[in-house]
Amino acid sequence: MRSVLVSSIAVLSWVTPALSQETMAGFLQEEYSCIMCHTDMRTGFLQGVHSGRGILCTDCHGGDPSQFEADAAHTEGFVGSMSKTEAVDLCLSCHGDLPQMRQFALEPVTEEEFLFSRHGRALLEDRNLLAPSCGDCHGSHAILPRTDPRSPVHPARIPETCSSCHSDPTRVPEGLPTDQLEQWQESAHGVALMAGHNERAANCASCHGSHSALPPGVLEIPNVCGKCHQLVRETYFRGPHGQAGPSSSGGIPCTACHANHETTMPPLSEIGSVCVSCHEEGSSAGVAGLELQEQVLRAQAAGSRARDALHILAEAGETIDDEEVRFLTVETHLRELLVQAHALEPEALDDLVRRISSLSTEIGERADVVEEHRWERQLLAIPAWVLLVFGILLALRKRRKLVAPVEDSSVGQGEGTES
Amino acid sequence: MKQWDFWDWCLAGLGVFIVAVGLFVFLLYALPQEPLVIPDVEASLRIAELDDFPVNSDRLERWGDRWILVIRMASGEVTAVEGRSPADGCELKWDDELYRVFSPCSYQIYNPYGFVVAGLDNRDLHRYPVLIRDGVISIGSGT
Amino acid sequence: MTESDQNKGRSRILKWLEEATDARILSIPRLFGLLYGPIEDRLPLGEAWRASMRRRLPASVGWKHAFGGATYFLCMILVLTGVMLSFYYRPSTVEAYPSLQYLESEITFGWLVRHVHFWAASLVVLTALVHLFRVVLTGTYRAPRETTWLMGIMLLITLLAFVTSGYLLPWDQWAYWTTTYGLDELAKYPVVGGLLSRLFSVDEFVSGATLSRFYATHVILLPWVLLLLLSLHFQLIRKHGVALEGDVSGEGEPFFPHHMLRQLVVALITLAVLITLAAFFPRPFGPPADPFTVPGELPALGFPVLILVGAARLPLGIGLYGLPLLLIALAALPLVARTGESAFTRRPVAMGLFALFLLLLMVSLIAGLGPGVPPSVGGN
Repeated sequence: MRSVLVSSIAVLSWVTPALSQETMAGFLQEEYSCIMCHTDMRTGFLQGVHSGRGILCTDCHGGDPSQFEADAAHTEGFVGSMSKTEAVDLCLSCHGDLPQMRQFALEPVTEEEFLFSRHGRALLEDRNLLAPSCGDCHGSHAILPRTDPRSPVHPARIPETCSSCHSDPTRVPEGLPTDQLEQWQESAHGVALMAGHNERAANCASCHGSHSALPPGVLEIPNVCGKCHQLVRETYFRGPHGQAGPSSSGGIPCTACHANHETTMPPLSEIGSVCVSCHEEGSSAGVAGLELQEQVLRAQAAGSRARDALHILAEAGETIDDEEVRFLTVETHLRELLVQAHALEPEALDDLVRRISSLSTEIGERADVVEEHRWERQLLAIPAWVLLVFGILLALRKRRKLVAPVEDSSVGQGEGTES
Repeated sequence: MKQWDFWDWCLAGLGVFIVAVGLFVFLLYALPQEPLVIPDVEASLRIAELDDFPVNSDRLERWGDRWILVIRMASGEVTAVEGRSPADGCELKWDDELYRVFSPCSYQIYNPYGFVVAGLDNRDLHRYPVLIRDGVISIGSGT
Repeated sequence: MTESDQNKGRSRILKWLEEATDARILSIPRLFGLLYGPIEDRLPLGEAWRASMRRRLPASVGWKHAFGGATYFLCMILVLTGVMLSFYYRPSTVEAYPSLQYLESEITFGWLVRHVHFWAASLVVLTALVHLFRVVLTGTYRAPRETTWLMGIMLLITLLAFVTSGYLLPWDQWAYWTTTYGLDELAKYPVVGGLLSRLFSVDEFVSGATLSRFYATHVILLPWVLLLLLSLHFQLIRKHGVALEGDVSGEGEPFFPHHMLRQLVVALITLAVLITLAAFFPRPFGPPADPFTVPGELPALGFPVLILVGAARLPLGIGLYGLPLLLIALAALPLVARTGESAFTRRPVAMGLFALFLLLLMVSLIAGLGPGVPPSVGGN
């Protein structure tokens, strides 16, 4: 009897608060009936950004929440699961509206913008249902802002979200590669984002755009990369490739040397061979490429000489504040050199290379002085040994004299010991 | 005691000489020399006299492991911020026309108070307190 | 110069000393092993001194007995250079490294003092081991010199403790991480290991608190232990003699000047070797200690540290347990072999034990020379 009572109290205390706590934007479920059945969607929706902005189920789905029977509730313009195109219209009805978006400091997304993307054209014009709608990237009920790490459009999750379709050959148009994710993960961008946790590193959307996603055109590439690599962009446009770009038919974009998704940096010792992959060997451009390589390698060698000299100084226990200041300048110039190299004019680097060399020489000279001191120290061993050998011989002679007192009278005996 | 011959005197002299050299080394070693200053343990770093630090100029200082860019702006105001870019490790420069601190290696720009103005890296520069007293500029660690 | 002239020169100081005190004051130099024979305290000071100095050693004493003296000479060098180093060294995490940089680059002969101290620490363990080898070879560890022997073994352990505690003081990456490694290994001993390790590290990782403790151990605690053990060692030698038959007076050469000249030669050679090693192979500065960066390579510097680190690296705890067990076994040797033959071929147990000890040292040395493996630490 007692146990029945205890268990029924337990059941009641578990059920009652659960029932009374089910709410939607402050409404109890007695007042807002959707959440009586659709508890899982309610949970997701409550995590999303829309739930705190006064938006309710009926704002998107219609229906009558004052009815408790399913059939009666699903009336009054009720829309259940939406088609992809319906979803686009629904989202744009608010997100395309500047007055509504302004208060949240959000840029409005227009249908025109979406239609610019290949996604939009495939979905809205070709009615290709493999193409993504808003919900495929943003989620449907638990829609989170892109700053939220749980959101599929958070910078660190965008690659995964994009590749959920783009790695699948059955979901992308024929002929489109499906290995972009792997390539990107190996790139400086991928490493910076995934291993370095730098959320500002380039993800898919940084170059392709989001709602207007499209591969950038050849002529656009320098500007796309230049969004972040501004200094490189500047020097690139000073040089022959950048100058040639807009006027020629093709142009030579960043990707010609650095590839697109894997964004490789050609080894500095292969700059020349990168050039001759397009230019003819022995042509003026080919020669300039080799010269450029020569310049960069010379600067790098000077830099590593300076580093070795610093190491020698540090190991010898010298205080190297001044040398470290110089070395920071060397390191800075070395990085500047790589930026300036994009102008593809070897003479333009002369000044930097000269400065790097002279600073490295200054550091090296100090190391030479220290090495010289070490040599002087080693010279000290000579008088030490001379004195001590002399002392040893004298002591041994004295001992011999003491041990054999009969022979000790002659000085010649002592000299004999020494020789 | 038997008489000492020349070589005995040499031995004794050598002994005395070695001890004397040892004492001499000790004396040279122990004599007060240029005192040791460890910048890390000092509470502040003396930069310069105001007269020696013209307006519209800057200088990079080393304080222990810290790199500090000290800027004297056109207004005469002195600020001190981290001198090595957290974005790329390069030496930061002061542009007295644009009134900006920038990295020559990548697109990274700060204002003279250390706040990021533009660039991919959103870490602000550490700012060091500046004290001007008796015409001498000193900076503190700011910790 | 005649004998009387010489005595005239000395007599004034002697007279003053004889007036001020009596021959019992000679027990002070004897405490430090500077006097060999017993002191006749009824004689005047000068005569007592001379009598004691001229004491004859046993006939068997020869060059092979000089290694004890060399060890003692190196200890004195270490004390002198150690005191000199403490003029400039500052035992704190911020100051230790720059103070040694200053010593090395600014102070006249600072480098000499520092590197002589470093090399003397290596050589002293070497000469102590050779001295030990001589004692085992001649069988002089047996009664009545078992206490002398025990003091000797304890002195060897003290020297190793000196090396271990001094190794952290430069506060560079190599010192820091080798010490971390050593403390981790120490913690592996059952029951007391963890406590001992914690007692010296104080903190979760090697920190300023550790440095203070290592410094105090190195410059205050251990010197007193050394002095105590050394003086006991010397008193016992004086009482029981160095040679087998326990003949204190002996029929061999007098202690002074004959044996002293021998010691002088050894000391001069030691000094020359020290200066040469200091000039040609200075202990390099590693990068300043950084608890958050494990160095790529971790060289062990100096002969004793090579052996200790190498022993800890041996698999199955061979070195970790083998080295202390062998030392204990060696210390217990006179209890097992109380009497018997003195020729070393007739003492298989003792020689076998010592051979095992040498073998372990060799293997440890080779293991220590291998590439250093920095200790693994948590976090990233």
